[in-house]
Amino acid sequence: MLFHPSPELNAWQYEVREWLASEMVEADAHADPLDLTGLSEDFERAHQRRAGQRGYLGISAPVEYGGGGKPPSWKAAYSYEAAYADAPSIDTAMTLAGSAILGFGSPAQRAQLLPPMIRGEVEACIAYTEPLAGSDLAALTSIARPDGDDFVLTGDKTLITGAHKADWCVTIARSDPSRPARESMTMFVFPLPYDGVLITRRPTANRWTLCDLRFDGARLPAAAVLGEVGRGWTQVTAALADERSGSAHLGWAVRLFELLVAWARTQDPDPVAADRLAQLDVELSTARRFVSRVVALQDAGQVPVVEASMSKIYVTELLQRLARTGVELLGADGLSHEVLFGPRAGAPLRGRFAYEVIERIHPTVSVGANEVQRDTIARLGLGLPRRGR
Amino acid sequence: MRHELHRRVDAARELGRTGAVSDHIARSLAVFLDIHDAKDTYAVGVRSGNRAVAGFAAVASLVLVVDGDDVWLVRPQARVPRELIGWTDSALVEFTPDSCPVQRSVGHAISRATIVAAAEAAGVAAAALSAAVAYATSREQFKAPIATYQALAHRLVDMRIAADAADLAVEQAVIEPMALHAARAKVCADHAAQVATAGLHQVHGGVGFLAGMPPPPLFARSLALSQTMGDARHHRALVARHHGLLT
Repeated sequence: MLFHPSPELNAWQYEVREWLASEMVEADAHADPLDLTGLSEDFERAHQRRAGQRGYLGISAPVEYGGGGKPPSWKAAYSYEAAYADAPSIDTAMTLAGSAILGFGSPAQRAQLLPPMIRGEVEACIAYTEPLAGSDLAALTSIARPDGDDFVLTGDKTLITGAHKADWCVTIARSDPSRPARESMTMFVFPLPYDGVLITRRPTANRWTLCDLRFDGARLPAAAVLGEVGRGWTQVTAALADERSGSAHLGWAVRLFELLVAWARTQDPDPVAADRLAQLDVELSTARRFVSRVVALQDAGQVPVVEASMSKIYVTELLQRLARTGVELLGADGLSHEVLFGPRAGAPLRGRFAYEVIERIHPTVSVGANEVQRDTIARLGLGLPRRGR
Repeated sequence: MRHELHRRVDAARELGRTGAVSDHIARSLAVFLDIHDAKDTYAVGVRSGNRAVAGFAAVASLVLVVDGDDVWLVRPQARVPRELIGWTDSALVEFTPDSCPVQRSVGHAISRATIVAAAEAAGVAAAALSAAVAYATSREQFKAPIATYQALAHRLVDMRIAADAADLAVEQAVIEPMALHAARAKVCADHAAQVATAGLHQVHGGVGFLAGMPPPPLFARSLALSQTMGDARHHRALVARHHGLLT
């Protein structure tokens, strides 16, 4: 089942592409290598506000909150284009927290949070991962101790994207440790900065930073509970499944492939390189179809868990092959590293593939390690028995 | 024509699922060339000089020898029997290009027959996957079904990913039956058939190496199809030319 975009979507996507290209013309003047986007927070916020004004960030969100009310394929198309353009509007508040708040927020929370998220006026982060709970989220140990109508949070979250600049944080902690793990958790949404919440930045292998977040007796009111007390694990699982189409990864993959082909065409003809690139073309077209299938099913109102896991695995592993091939074809220049934006040092292809070969390590791990995705496909897609625990 | 392609692709996938050896691809090429005659029996091969090796060439009345965008229509005078893996009644045929009828610039028909071959390979991949899943969930070792072992489960998942990729590639090629999509579908489906049938052998363990077990005919058929209507290297060269990487 492949997705066939309507002429209306095609026209809109073209408009988005042109707009994003114009947005990025001045990007070099706003570099910040310590941010995942490679760009300054000021530039990112201004860009997201403009995207919000144009209705892009909430294109598939309900009209009642200021969204565009379009099918999920439109949201996927925006993510694809933003990734292709290296624009700082991929990890928006809507992308990161939208499905959790739409799915589980109270009417008051939705009315308060969604309109500014859709307008691009706020940043958000999701703080789920802990030092001892990565793929195995059921192992998390942060505590949300009930105290009167409040909850007092203690514990450590780690590897969080963008907490240092976030205005809102969505998190999860154990509100009743006496219950079985999957019935013991509650989700919360609260503003940042916040008393008793300490955020520190840690440099990654590719120089930008991820955040650690420590709850040191942070007192959250009952109104900060997202969804139902005790239903956090089920809610988080559903929210994460909703976010996995792979369209942003596909945008990066197409960009890398195009850069590599354009570069190869300037070189002396090399049948070995041509064969390698042709194989990557075939794989890229497979990646497109895996994403296309997820989008088609989402538009049909389904939650394609197995197909989304396949798409995530395929596209993220293809990104690594693309980056690695780029380094290999570029030869000695392949390891010349440059920042994505800012002053140029003169490396061929702007050091893009040296940046990418490091950068694309994490997508096969994040948002559910590919091994966990394979477990999901084994169980739900192939009906294989689970090993007795 | 679209309907005819659709019908022949569906039939090819079903043939692939049974691992059957047939002249469906050759006959499909004859239909797409608009030369099909119920009185003829067909074989299809790739030209190598003034000869071609093909399954069914020992018995076919008409051997279709593909060379780029041209197809030579060879009524064999002499046939040398050859045993080709994954085929029956194989033979080497020689022909004299100067005196042999040829259809030139029939790339559209060749692309369609390539999609039919890809569909059969996709069917082989699907059959190998379901046979492997069935065996892995029933066979017990170390007191548990072997499908419960993650190393094996993940291999089955990768077979599923490859098989799904092949089906989607064929689906797209049927919608847009141009040379580029046909080439991509063939590379993708050959890869899927290879991954899935090699995986089927591995999952079956030693007993799967015995004749009469499910893996050998599917593995052999995947090999046969990989050399029918152009191999992966041929189709990657076509893709590379599309990108201006080869002349």
